[in-house]
Amino acid sequence: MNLTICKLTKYYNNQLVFKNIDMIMEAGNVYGLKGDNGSGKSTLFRIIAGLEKQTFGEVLYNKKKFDNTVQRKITYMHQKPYMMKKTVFKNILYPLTIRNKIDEKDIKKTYKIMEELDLYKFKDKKAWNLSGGEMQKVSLARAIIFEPEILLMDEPTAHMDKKTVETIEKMVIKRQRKNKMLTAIITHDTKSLDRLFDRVYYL
Amino acid sequence: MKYILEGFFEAFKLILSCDTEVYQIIGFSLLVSMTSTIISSIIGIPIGFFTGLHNFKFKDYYSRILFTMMGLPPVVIGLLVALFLARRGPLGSFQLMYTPIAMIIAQTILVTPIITGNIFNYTKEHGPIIYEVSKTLGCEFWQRVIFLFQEMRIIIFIGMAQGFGRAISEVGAIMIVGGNIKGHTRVMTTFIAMNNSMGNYGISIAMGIVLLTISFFLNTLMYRLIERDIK
Repeated sequence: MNLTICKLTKYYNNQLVFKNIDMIMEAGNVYGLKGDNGSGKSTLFRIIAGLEKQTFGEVLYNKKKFDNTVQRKITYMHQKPYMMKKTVFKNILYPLTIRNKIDEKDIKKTYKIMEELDLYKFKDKKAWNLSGGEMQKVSLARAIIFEPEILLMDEPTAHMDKKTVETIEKMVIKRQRKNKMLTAIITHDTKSLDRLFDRVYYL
Repeated sequence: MKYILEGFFEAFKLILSCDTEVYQIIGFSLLVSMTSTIISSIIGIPIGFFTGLHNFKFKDYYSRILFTMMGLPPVVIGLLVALFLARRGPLGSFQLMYTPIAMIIAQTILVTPIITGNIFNYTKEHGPIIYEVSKTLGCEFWQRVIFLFQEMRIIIFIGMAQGFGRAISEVGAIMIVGGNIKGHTRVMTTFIAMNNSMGNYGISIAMGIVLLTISFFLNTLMYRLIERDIK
């Protein structure tokens, strides 16, 4: 699986955000996306995730245009995680509930992911009462539980402590090996996540 | 002061005496206000969601008009509805004037902007992120709609409760279009207004107590729900 970005251009109210961006990203790799504030990193991710429309250019999945089925294989983690008005457990389980009928396997999978991210102790807590780092971990668990093919993370470790960053790193590496997921991460933090990247793009 | 205390005493006596007329008026008031709140919700919730989520030309003007409509005086609404429903009016042939339907129409016009405004305001602020999260988690169109409803259930309920509170407590519109006809269009507020002007303070206070109790229960329920979602 690959993701091709061809001559992508974005204008906001006649103001240029970026112009003619070309990128190729392949499954099983972790890509870093860096650039100055306002260079359009988040906008690029939002276009890939189908949350915004580009002005010109194309985003192709296996050299084909995106459709609804492809869109469901992509997930985007916002910089500020939004927690649903549910418990931590139900937040993480949610993407599975909208895809199929929940069975014992799904429940076990949710518990396992919670244990891996050190969230099990919060399983019955209301998700919006957690700390920023814990919310980011819930957001990651919720994003990867349905095994997306493309994971886009917008500064997932901003303002996080070392331990949380390490947990997120470990999880990304694990999923990478297991599912051959394409992961792209926007980061300003040069120290922590750099070792994860197979390739870094600058905007 | 004595007549006020006597009024309160008489009020409690009336409430406990299970007076048929009193309970019939309470039941009818609840029925009219609930019906108009439900109709207003069916109209106002989708409009609030849609206009809150989307950017369109003149959105600023739209919100200003909407907020103005949230505070429309009930008598003005009553007058407008009466002009349309009166025998010589454009909808006069339906003979709806001085009927419960006319009262429901007037209250629906009164309540719809309140529900729409509440939903619109919240959706404008929080709707886009909720909608985006539902999309990035893989929700289909109808799942996104359900997701929005689930995440915004409290604000929907608050909007509905405020609308219902406004409907049950207003007197101007229903007095004009309903006419306060005994056993037909008489509701709690028109009953209070009429008895007050006749000097029957006891029965007016009794009805006032019932109105306050309904408002208290509604607010308690609202507070409990908000508290459950915050803590």
